[in-house]
Amino acid sequence: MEGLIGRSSKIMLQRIQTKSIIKPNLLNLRPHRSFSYSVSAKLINSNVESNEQKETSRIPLNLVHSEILRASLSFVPKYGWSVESLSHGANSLGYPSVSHGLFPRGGVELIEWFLEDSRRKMVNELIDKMDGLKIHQKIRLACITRLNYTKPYVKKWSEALAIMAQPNNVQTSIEHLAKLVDDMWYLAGDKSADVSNIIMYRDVQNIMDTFLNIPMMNWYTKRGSLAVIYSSTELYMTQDISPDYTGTFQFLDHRLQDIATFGRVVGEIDTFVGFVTKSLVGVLASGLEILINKVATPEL
Amino acid sequence: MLIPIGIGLLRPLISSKSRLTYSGIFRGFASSTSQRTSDRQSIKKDDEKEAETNFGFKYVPESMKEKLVGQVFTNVASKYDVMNDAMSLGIHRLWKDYFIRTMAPGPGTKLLDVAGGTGDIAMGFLNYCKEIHGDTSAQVTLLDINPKMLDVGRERFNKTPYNQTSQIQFEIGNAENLSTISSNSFDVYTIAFGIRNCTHIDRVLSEAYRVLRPGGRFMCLEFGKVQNPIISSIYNLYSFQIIPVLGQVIAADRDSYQYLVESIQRFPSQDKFTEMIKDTGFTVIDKGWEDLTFGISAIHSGFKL
Repeated sequence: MEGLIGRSSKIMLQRIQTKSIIKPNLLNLRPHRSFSYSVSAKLINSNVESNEQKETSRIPLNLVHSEILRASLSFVPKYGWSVESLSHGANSLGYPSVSHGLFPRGGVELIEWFLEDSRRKMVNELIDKMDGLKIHQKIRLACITRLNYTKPYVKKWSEALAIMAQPNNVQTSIEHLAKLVDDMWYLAGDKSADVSNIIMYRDVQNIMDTFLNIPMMNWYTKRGSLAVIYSSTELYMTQDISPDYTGTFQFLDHRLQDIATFGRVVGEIDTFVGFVTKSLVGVLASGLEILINKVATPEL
Repeated sequence: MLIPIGIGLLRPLISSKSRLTYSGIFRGFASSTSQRTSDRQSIKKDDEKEAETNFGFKYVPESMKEKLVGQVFTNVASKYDVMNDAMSLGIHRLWKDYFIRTMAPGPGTKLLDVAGGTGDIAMGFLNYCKEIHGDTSAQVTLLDINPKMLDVGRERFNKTPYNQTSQIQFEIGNAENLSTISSNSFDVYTIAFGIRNCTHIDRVLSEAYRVLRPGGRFMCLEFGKVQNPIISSIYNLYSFQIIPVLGQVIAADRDSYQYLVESIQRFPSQDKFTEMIKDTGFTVIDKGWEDLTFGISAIHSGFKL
């Protein structure tokens, strides 16, 4: 067995093992992820921000940053995800309006912080409530909980999606979505990574074939499909006028049923993955379109 | 190269009023006279007792730098704006405009514009507040050490609707010791192209920290070092060959503009200056500075938190 394990896989295995020492969780191994974060470490460690210093999303380190961002959220329904909201937020705390300069990229930083904060809130809220539910029910509960956090800002959410779809911001917005979806599956007790996950990069002519046929592919398809479900539901919510967002929740249920039906067709996996990735980009672009439509036909 | 020499030799004929009269050595293409060599020797005796600082490429006792800089600006005050446009080909207006847009002040902001001189930043700030927010409660205190520069600023503001309103106030003061300004009283502190003329930059920074409110922003627009070697060589050629000549032709004062380009070389680089800002206690976001025009100038920023 030793001879078959490539050096890169050994290093990966060591990295994975050290991670599992740090975080005692249900899963023994996690597939190598391109995003580095740890959910369970967050749950144990109340000082989340110091953990996330090394991570790809730029979470503010300073307490003042978070205070101003939190205060700015209450101005978002009026001024949108913009420097104006940040100025008013700073003012409300007694800082001068030029303190918005603490966030040089402007409204985007407010959106990113909101995404991060909502994700944390979702995890903290649901970590105890997942007993006795089946997996698809847990996923449904996670999606609904997360969607509820967007409700106060739903009128300005299409603006947020349009900002996130800008080329500068696409990378971080996809990262946030990926982290969200990973957390949802973690809460649902995803055990798809329990099998031995060592990939052999040597002696492989077509990496994609090997990649797609191993059990670990499940990990990616689950997250990919949930990402599409969640983001399309959120998009639906921005133009949902049904009372109490019942339309949105029906839409969510229908999408979850679709995935349950189609997700097991193994033969279609490579086209499915392609579909998932393209859909993700398509969803973000649809957000932009919806915003343009809204601008063209202003609502009362 | 012949033109500068020719003008240098003709200088006694061209400029009679605005000759710098300090007893230091000024370098030009004309050769030094015996009068100047004896002054050089008397300076040497003073140097042994006092610490020295840079005045362009020369070293002068610290106590003298303020006076020398004062003379420079008294001489250039009347032609300051014209020369700025000529030397930077109008680009300084873009820099200052971008500077104010980066600041993006909200309504009712109080600005302290130090070394504000002829009031470019102050004017731009008030215009921004009026145009973007429709706000007339923004206030700016224009502070400068040189009365002549302030007079030119006052004249400029006389022609604007801000004249005689509470929105603009003029004060004479020294950036290193803002004795007339109380602590925690301003939202924004700006110093545009002024800090390199100050003798003790760290004192300027600590005074800036003192007068700002918590959450307040320190912003500095200053010349910087160009990293790109090609642009750097073109820029150096332009600075040392063309700018002093322009100074001679337009303002009849070559030496002041020679001092200008030399002082740019002497000012610390962007990252060193950012370290100084951090050492004072300001919170610096990301890199701490933003290069404009390949680093010819840079916006430095810090927050008092």
